[in-house]
Amino acid sequence: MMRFFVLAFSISLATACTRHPVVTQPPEPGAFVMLLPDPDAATASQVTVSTPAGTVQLANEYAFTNLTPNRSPSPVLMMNGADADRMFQSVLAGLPPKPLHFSLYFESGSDELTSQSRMELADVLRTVRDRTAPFVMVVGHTDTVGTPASNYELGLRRATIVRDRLIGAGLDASTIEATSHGEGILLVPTPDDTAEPRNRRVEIVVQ
Amino acid sequence: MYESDGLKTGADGHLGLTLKDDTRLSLDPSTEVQLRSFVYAPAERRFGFVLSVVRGVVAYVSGRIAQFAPDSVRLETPDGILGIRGTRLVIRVRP
Repeated sequence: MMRFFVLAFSISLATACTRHPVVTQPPEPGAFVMLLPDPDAATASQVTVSTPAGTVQLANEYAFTNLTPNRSPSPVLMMNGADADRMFQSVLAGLPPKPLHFSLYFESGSDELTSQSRMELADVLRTVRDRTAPFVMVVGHTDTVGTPASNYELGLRRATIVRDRLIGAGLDASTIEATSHGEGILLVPTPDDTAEPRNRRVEIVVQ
Repeated sequence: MYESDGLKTGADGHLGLTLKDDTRLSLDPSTEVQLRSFVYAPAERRFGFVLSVVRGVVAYVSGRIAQFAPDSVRLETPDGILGIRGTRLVIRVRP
């Protein structure tokens, strides 16, 4: 009986503690959409927000609109950047780190890395070790010398070599995926049966 | 995460995830989303991304699907849909 009382008390206390005053959130049902700055973006960001009753464009950092049922989106409003960063601090902090891309190159017709790419493999290993929950995708590619079938196999051998090096460096095998596109996706378009060093590569994404 | 999967966080749960095309999502507590469509097949030039935010707060950073086929990216809320030309945004839905 006593134990039940203590438990009930602690729950009501916890509930009371989580009731912060909320200033900026609208009380009524609906949605809120805000465009945020992206330091990594190469092109300007833009979001088109549509309801059955109308459309608005968000084209500036910290521009936002409110959506309420069966109404047009509100006219575009601007929020102070510091206020927005504070308001959405927890969800922004929860974003995983930006995925990083690497390309390593191979000698002709072989699964042997070029000497420069052997050195760059160290960068890949370092990036993987720096992440708390890494997932790595390795895709092998070839140039157009040889048949599509043999190039699929060669691309897979190239991807597997890199995969094995990452596992050898301590990465869990279940967090790495090695596949091949053979000669299907050329970095530099060429006719068939053309040796092209830039097409003999593996592309690595470290998430 | 696969197409048509739903994700929910509890009252004290957070979730951050990276999809195959490098799209990144973060969910605050008490948030629910559904991935209605996810197609990332660059070899066949097929792309699609439709995410429905049912409730809560979601941060979205666009990935390669948005880069290769911006018209195929859509975020939905119960009250309206969003067409995205990149790259980083936050959505809050109160049902």
